[in-house]
Amino acid sequence: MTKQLTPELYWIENCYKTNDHHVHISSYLIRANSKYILVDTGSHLHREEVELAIEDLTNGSGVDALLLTHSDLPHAANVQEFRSNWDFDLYASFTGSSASPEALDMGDATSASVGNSTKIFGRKFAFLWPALADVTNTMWILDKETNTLFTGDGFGNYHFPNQCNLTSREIQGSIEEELIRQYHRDALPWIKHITGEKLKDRLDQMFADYDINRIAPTHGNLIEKQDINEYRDKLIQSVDEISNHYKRNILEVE
Amino acid sequence: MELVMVQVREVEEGIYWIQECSVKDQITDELSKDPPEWYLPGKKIHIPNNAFLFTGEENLLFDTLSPAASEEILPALESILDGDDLDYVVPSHPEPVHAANTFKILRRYPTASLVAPVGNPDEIVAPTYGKGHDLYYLDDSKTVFTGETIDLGGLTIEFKEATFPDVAFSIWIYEHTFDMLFTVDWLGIPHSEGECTKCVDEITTEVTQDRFHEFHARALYWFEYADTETTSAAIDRLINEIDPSMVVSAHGLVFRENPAKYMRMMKPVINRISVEGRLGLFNAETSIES
Repeated sequence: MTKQLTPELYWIENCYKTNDHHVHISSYLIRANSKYILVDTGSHLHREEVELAIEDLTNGSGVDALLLTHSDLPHAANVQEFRSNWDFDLYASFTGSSASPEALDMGDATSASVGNSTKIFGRKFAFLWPALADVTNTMWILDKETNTLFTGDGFGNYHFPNQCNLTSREIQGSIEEELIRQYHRDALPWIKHITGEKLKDRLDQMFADYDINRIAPTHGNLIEKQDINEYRDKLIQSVDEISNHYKRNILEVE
Repeated sequence: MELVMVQVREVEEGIYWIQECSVKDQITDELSKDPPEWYLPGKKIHIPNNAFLFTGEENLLFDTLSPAASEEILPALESILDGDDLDYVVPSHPEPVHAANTFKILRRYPTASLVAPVGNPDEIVAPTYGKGHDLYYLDDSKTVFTGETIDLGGLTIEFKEATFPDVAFSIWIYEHTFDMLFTVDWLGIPHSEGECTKCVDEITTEVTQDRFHEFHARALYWFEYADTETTSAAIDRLINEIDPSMVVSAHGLVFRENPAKYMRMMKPVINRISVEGRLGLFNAETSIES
């Protein structure tokens, strides 16, 4: 299902169903003048749905550029298939590595230098160090036109079946802390070792450095600007609950 | 494409270390300007990707090397197996540098079982072994809980919780016969050309806190948020519960003398990262400033 977020930004959302909840596996499409830029490709499980959505949103012209937050399968599984459909420029932070786009049969790629910015079809993107990520060679992507931050695995949440295409503002009571906590516990298992305070410092620095209008995770509901602080607070609370539970109950540290 | 070199060494009877090395020019350049004590002048720096083949009545492969070694992994396996079958393929986690060649290997050895961890419902810390096996093509895998073992006839592999996990579906293994713990991304270190497939006690350079830092501040960047009381307790728990005779990472060399010393050495390393922050990526030109 697709949802228009701004005049040029679209959310292509698909869901993976677990026993208890759903989790998003999302891509985002940006119209840059007459060109189309895709952020992440979605999972191979949703390949057909994503392709159809792109065909529909681009009136058949397809993707002109693809930005990958990282090479993990739910984000990059469809690169080769999309290459057979459309001729696009690939931007990735994992060029030059032993798991480069070329080595992964994704074709040529332009290095997205984390910590720097670039223009794609005249539209400025900044590539940020991810505060939360599962894979080392991950970047967060900031579209400077809409100030939308694409956060890959960070800022995610599980959701209920009736919340699939809702933004944070549209969810009654906003995104529940428990759903944020369960998602991060499962997706980022190292969280048990960290403190919420240090993560909060990193996030607050990022929010001070950049004017962010919305956060667009791959695995969560879109977070509107008015809800970012509340989500951040719930995330930090979640981190502390996960880590305190591990510390007290598993490691038995007083 | 990055050039790689793959070497094989039988590190203990029936345990084969398959090491993929590639030159890290950026790190070599950085270190040559301000060389640490463990740096060998004029030598290129490698960050290896390791796979391990355990042989016996049955044969098990742990990790599959990166896609850059896709042409080298099968000849390496074939040279060791020498006509025998491969029975199990166990990616430590579904990240390309560890798991990229999984299905190429399974096509070559079609009777082998793909093995993946699944959350143990008895675990107090909720299942950290990921949800969504089919997202990673793991839906047809043989699933194992932590604590389960596979007896290969001679060697015995036990699946262990990844104390310091990378991603969902992370798993460590422990080999009982030789008391050997495989810690995947933890305890990785860079080495110099000439040190490939050497055990730490065989190299002339020291494994120092700084050397551990060079790797972990890039690969396990989240140490910058570490609760060092927790991470230290986790290391102590690991040593108390297992205290292995040998430890090896997927990105390092084999520690076969006093491995607990090196495990404890990681405490101040993690503390340093939690204070100083992460370093840049291993590849390409990146700026740490955001």
